[in-house]
Amino acid sequence: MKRFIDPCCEKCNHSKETPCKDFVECCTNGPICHEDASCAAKRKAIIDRVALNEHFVIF
Amino acid sequence: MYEKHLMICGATGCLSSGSAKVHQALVEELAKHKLEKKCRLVMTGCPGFCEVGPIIVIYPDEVFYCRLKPQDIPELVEKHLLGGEIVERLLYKGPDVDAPARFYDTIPFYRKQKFNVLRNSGIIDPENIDEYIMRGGYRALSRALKMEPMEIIDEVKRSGLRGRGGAGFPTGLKWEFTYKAVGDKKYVVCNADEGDPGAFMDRSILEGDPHAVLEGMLIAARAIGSDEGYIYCRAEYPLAIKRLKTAIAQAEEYGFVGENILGYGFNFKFNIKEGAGAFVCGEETALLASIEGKRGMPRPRPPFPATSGLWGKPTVINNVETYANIPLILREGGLEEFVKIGTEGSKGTKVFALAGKIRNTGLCEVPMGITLREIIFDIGGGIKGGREFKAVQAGGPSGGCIPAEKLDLPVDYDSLTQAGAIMGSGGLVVMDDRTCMVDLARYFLSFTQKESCGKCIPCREGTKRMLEILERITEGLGKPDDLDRLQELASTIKDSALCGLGQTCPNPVLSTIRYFRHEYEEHINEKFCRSGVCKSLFDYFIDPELCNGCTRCARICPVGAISGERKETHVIDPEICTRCGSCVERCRQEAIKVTRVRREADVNH
Amino acid sequence: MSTIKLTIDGRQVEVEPGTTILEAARKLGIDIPTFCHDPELAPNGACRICVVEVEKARALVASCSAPVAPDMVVYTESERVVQARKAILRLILANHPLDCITCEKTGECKLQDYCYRYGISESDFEGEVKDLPLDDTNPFYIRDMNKCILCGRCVGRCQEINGAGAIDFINRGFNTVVGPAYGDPIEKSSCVFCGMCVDVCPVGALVPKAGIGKGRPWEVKKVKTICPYCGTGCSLYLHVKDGCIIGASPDFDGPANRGHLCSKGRFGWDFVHSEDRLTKPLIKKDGVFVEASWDEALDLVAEKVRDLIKRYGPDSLMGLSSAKATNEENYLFQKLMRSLGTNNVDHCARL
Repeated sequence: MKRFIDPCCEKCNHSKETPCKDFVECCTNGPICHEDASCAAKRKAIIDRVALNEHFVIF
Repeated sequence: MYEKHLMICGATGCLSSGSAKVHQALVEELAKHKLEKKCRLVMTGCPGFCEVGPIIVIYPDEVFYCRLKPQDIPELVEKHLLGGEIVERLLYKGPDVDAPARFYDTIPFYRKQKFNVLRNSGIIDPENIDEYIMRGGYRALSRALKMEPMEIIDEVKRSGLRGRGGAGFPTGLKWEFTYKAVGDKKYVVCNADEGDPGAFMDRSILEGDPHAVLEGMLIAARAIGSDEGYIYCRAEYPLAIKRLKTAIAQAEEYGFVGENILGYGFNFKFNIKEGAGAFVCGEETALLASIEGKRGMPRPRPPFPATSGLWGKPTVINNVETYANIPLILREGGLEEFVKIGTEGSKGTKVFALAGKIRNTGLCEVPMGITLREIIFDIGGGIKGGREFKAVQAGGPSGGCIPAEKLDLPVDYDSLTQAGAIMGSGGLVVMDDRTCMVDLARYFLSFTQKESCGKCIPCREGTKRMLEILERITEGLGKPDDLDRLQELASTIKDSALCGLGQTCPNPVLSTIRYFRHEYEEHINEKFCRSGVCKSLFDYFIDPELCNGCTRCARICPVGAISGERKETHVIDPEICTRCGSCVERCRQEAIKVTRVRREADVNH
Repeated sequence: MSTIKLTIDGRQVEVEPGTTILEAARKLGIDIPTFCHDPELAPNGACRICVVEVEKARALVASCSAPVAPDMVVYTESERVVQARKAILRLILANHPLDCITCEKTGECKLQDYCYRYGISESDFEGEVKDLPLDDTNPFYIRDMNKCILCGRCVGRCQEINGAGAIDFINRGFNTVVGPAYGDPIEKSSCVFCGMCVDVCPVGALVPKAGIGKGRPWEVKKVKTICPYCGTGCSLYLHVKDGCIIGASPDFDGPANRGHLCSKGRFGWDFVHSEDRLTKPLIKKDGVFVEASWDEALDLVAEKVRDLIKRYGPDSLMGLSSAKATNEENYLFQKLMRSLGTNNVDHCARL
């Protein structure tokens, strides 16, 4: 998973064709629809890669 | 994980002062030291301080390096990135700081600013939608999609947001009119035809944070019931257009644009229309005509675009900065935060472009209600070369000049209008004692005359005659009744021109007459320009008390009008002098003064 | 929807919603000057001569485009209005040739009329004056853009009504002119010479060539007739002075054309008084046409007709008339042919 649009696992089916209402929330605090530490870690990794400092992520 | 993030300004201001070369040098230097995996190099949007560009900010250390040249890069990489040591000589220095300043919080330019619409500029990679999302992006859209149109409109109304493009019309009200207008199709249009000389905040927002504008437009579309939008951006902004296109493509991929957005059954499509650079196309009806493929000329209102806009359909049209405010207001808890800033009648922040004889040129975002003095002296660092402040032209060619005695005026829509200027798009051109106010009025009139669409008689013919009178005055051919004629023409144009641009174009003349009438009278009656601008209305002479005979002036003079031996007082021959002003710039003693033209009569007696 | 009541110059008027102030004022018989207003076009609001003062409005309002509102109070000749109109006229005159003495438009020029009405005889603004070459390249009309006040009616008519799109505004500011693309002469444009631009021009910028120097408007009698060229039946006025046609103009109320004419109906009248035109019958004798009297000619035709009918029957005859004759003449002609026993009648209406 390199970008937020990439699915964290097969449970995520957000795409422009099959949109998920929770997508934005899921990007930064996901996953929302299921609990999985490794999925959460994948999303966190995207944030960590580009966050400039501790104030960077706002939501 | 990156250890360091190098955010180099890739906006037009820094690009023109050479940031592309600095970027190239950094790429090479990082490769040389095999630091590519550890250090992330990003071309960001504008951090505002164009005066000291090119700028790099290094995170997480929070170090602001400025005035960089490619040859500074090896040292920067070696000392800072490899050695962990701050390169002091590349930090911000200036008379307003005691010691080299390291970051935003210690640089006076930034201290009084409040970043709302520029919140992401210079912080994120504008070509990466993920970074926008991390900064809270598209949360307002997600929230708005759950709301009823009138709930969205109500929040915008309660925010007190007024149009940032010029007239300051309440945005929520405009949306409500369009929402209530009957139409089988509605449009959302973004006015990115920034045309005021010196103003570039819209360009900066588009270059630095394009998704904020898209998100604002999407929320507007949801509120009024529109499924298609246009961004009218001048073709002179290629970088802004490129980044907008990238942003739209990414937003489409992510499902924020297109069909059934985020599963709410809401569709929206963006179109970009490149404008050919006519100033008048910033006027909303002319802009719509231009999108339709017609000549950009305003048409009478009513009907307003809210009821009959693009192709006769109800249309919301706002400018870039207005849309960039929308996500801030609509996000969870955003409204409460937003209304805390600003004054009763003017909420939020405003971005100003500082230009002219000010020390710190660039963009600044300030809370409404801040005084002009704070903007010009605290943020802007005062006048270049420590000269005397004379006036500031606020609001571009439709605005007016504000003199020194009004410096403590709080900056909001209503006070500026009362003072004879306007908020406009937020251009501030600062003038010192070497600016001639008659010449300034002449300059702005020549701009509006050239850019007049030619449709209505008061603007097309009236500004021409006003310009001719002003030209005569600056050439020393002014007549005693010229001021009355200027004022009469100005009031006719204000009262009867077709569009907002026509009605406001006499403002620079009226405000300079209001505050600097004596300068006009001096030009007309005494044939004297005390500012040393109108070339036939003054002579230069060298003050013998101050001249130390350094010969610098004589050496720079292109026509050999200055004579004098080394260490002796120099003399200017007014017959030869072309009043180019090179010697004035050159003299370290400020010994070269402006004086009245000596006439035959004076010489003979 | 209910009607709207408003007050104009102290008088009450009641009109339909969507009516403009100008229309409401005209209902009261109040004459507001206009240059650019054209009932067939979308409100343009360009010339600003129709501005009026509306109570509580910040600036003056262009009455041609501003819709009425309930309880609106309008002044059409207040001091502020008159001052603005005078200033606008002075601004126009500062950039307009004062050659009214020889100008073809004198007598029916709106600029002249309004200057007379507001007592403006010359402009007190000195400065640059347009100096553009005449466009004299076509046989029908002259375009003198020095006289053009850029009201835009010609552009609107050409684009919105005719659809030819031959002209538009070019350049900006003081240098704005109306003309074909790339500054070409009108003959090289998509102009179809319908002349509608000429008919709506309020000043002397567009002048039909045929009538130049031939008569002042007040000397000309306008005779309403139907164009005989084709079968459309366009209604038009022939401009007649001393028994001679010196021009034509469309009838804006004509049921078939409502102001439209084609290039023939608008400009094609020179043949009437052409020196090349036959005025006496000619009979070919020994291979050469020779002038003859009407009796001689009619006798010859009657004799030939009688002879043909006798030998081959009436269907051997065919009558071909000229479409340039009037409808009445053509009616009589077909009557004549039928009375001779044939239905073979046609005319050359496919011009």
